[in-house]
Amino acid sequence: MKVFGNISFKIWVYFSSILFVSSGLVIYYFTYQQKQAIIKYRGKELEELTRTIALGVELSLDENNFQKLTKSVNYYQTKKKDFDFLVLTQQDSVTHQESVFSLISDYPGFDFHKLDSTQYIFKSEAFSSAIMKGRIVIGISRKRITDEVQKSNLPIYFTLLFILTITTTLFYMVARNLSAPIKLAIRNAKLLQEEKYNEFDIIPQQATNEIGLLQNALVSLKDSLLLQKQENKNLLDSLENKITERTENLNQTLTRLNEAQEIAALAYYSYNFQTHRFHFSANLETIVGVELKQIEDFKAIIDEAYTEEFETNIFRQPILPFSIELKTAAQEKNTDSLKWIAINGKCSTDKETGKCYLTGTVQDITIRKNADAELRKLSQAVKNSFNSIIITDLNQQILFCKR
Amino acid sequence: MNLKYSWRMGFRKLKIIAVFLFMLVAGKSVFAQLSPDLVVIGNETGNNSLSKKQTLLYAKGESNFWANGKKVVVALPSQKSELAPTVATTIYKTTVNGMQKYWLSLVFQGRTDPPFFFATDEETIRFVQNNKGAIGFIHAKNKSKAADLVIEVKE
Repeated sequence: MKVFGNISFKIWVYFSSILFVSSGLVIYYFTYQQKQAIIKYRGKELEELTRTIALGVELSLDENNFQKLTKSVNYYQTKKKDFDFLVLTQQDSVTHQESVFSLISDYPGFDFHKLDSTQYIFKSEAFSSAIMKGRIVIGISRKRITDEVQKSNLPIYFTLLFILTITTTLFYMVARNLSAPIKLAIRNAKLLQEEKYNEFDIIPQQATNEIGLLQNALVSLKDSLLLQKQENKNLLDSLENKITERTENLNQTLTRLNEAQEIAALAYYSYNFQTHRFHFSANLETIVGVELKQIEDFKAIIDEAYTEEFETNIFRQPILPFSIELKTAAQEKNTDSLKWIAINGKCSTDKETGKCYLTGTVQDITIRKNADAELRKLSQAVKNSFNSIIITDLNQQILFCKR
Repeated sequence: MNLKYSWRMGFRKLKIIAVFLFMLVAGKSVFAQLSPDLVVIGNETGNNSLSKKQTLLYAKGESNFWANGKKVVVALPSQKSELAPTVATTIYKTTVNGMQKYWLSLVFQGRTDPPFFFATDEETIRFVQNNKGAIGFIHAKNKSKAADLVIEVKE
């Protein structure tokens, strides 16, 4: 099967097909023309012979001279192999019905009354004498002419077949030689495709023909690919280094950020308006003391008293930056560790999709809130004291005075 | 009376036998002559006499060579000849036209050489004299003109 896909075979098969088809057409046309010419020639020959024999019959009957008839009949007999039948018919003087008077034919079942022009070429000539009237009919079968043509052309057919065989064999060799550089180019192109540059074996050509140009192009392509490959490798190496470096930086930054978040008791969240889903950073778990997988939204962690305020801020349209402080729900169950959180947020737009999403932070502000409460208590105590109280800074500057 | 009667009866039988024998001999003689009006002549046929059957074979073109190897050449009276009907009737058992057709058929088939036709006995005699192996038919009245060519036809 590989042979049929071979480029040499493809070149050869088209040429051979054209050669065989055109030879066939020429033979058919030549044979047809030859047959027509023979039919024409034999038709004339038949005409002449029938006329001569008819004249011979008239002379025989009217003039008692059978010599002319003998000569023409002898001519027929000597060329008998070229004819199929010779018929002398007699016409009834009363009924005008025609009957066979004498017949010469090698066909055993030959029936003159069933003569068919598709099978025979025949000519007839009427004769008329005082003794009898009738016709001379001579014919040749078309099959005989076809056989004759084929027989005479047999040496031509064999010669042509021989020439065709030799030509096609030679052309196959020519096709192989023609396709050799193309095969080389294809093989090397495959090697380039498979990146087997070491096996590439085309040498740059001086020739300026198509094949030479193609091979030179492949050589250039190989060089270019090698160069590109080296450049890519360098780039890749460089990129890899940069990525590694940046990844390290990012990791470091992330670690620091996490540390900073942890120190600042800060967590990150985002909200998708399309899917209505929240995403929380892991820090939230530490801040609110609830497992992250249980936190689907803020309702799970904030006090119910703040829900309306929270939703008003977070879902108003358009969303403006907001900051709210509220108590966590979870802490209500454990009053020993009451927690306050500050939720900040703002709406951002995705550069790729152009859709809006909410991002923000959740910060544990319990210490500050407790400090504020303590400060308020202390302030209240100072305000309600009956003693005079003066508070200065380290530079003796008075900051507060209670009389 | 009885003796006279038996003698008469015997004589009558003898007469009948005699007449019968005469008729038989006479008939044979007539038949052997083909026709009283016809005389067969030939040149170097190798035979001075021929049987009736042989004569018909040669005259009808059914046998093309004489016993001596010479080719048979038939000379016949043409349509204009007075002898033509006699020859046609006697030899070919047909009319003059029938005789022509007979030869047309033979020649057309290429079975034999064609005959030669002559209007007079003189022409026939001259032709036979000049062609070895020739056989012809002339009127009995001209038999003396070709005495050396006459072929006797026997039973």
